[in-house]
Amino acid sequence: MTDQLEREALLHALACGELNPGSPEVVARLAADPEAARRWEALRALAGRLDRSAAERAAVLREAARTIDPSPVGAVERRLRELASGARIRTQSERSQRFPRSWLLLAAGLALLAAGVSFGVWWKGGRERERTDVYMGGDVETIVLVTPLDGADYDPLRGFEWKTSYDLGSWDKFDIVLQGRHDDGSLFELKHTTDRETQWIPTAEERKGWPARAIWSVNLRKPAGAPEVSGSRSVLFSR
Amino acid sequence: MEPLPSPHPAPIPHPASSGEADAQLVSEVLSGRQERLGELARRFCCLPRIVRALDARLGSRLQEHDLLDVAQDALVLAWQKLADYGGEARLESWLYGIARLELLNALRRRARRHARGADVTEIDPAGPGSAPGLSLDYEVLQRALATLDPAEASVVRLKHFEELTFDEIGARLGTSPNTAKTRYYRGLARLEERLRATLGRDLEP
Repeated sequence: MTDQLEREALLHALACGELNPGSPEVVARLAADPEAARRWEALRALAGRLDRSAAERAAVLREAARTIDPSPVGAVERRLRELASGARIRTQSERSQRFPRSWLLLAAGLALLAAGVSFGVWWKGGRERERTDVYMGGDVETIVLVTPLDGADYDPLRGFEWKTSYDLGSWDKFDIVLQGRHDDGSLFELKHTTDRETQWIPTAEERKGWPARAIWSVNLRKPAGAPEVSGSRSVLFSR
Repeated sequence: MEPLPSPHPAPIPHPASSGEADAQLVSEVLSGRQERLGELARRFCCLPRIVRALDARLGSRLQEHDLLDVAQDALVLAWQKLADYGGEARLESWLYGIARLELLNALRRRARRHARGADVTEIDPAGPGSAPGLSLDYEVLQRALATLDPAEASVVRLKHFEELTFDEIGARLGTSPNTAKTRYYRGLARLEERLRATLGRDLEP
């Protein structure tokens, strides 16, 4: 019984950081008590797993915080108000439970070609309606700047990259604008170029004379000429 | 940092906010204070970005519309579970767990569609092209923690996930540091027993 109490006291002190597991006294006590040594190794391993899991969470949250994304606060708030009022909103998993019934319907529909065609039309329409069940800005076309991002140091600056949910038409182009800032805060244009790719790599010649901090933005330009401002994002970066 | 000219500044997790302040916000929303919903919505806006960051760690397996589905489902689930939020961690940290759950569920559904009988355990956590990878240990640990005495589980979470000292934990929970230590040790030991029983072997270092 005394051994058991001493063992618990030792493990308690080790787990809480009150004893140094590397100290000669602790090493000797663990060597003399294989059960205590086994349990201490297990506790230490578990503490390591918990720490790694916590570190991973912290890393993901940091990555998420760095992401430039549309901010559908209004949409989220509207959705929360609907939920708060007791609105029944189906989740994706609930929606996907329709598949077995859909297959049954499809099997029945195979007996009649016309019914099958009708089902396909109905299903497609229904699917589109379902996608609007919960709105968080998903159907807002956006341009998201990928790199360089705000506050980061890019030296050397390899290029500019963005991604978009726009389905680029044959004549659509991206407007890429790079601006510097005067001491009085006003902006001046450093570079204005257009491209159909989602990246732009300036030449060394183009980079000459650029300031250490600049603002860049990307707009979608339709053939009519007016930029689609809803796709614009601006980020201050340093290099 | 200078203010950005962007018309849509991206909200970021509020580093200054604490779990206690967030618990107050949640409590007020649940008690019907509609004017607080806007603040809660701003905090929930991190969900799509958390989902994307998690998916990126898995090798960007989902398409944009799938990611939005996951974020939307996570929003609904977060609302349904809001009463469970205890304020141990900031709201964003709590939402992280919900976003993970929904993302893994989506991957599981997709795996089942593509290969009959496949399960999430068949998903390579690291994934192709994913440098940091994503451990599936988080869910295992959280599930095991949920089986512990709540007071002990709370100390273990605060110690490892919030990185608080025993003095800070004691102050947070209204107990002495020694009580916090005792609960921590008991909680850790029980957690280890339960996980070992699940795995049938000692935990690997």
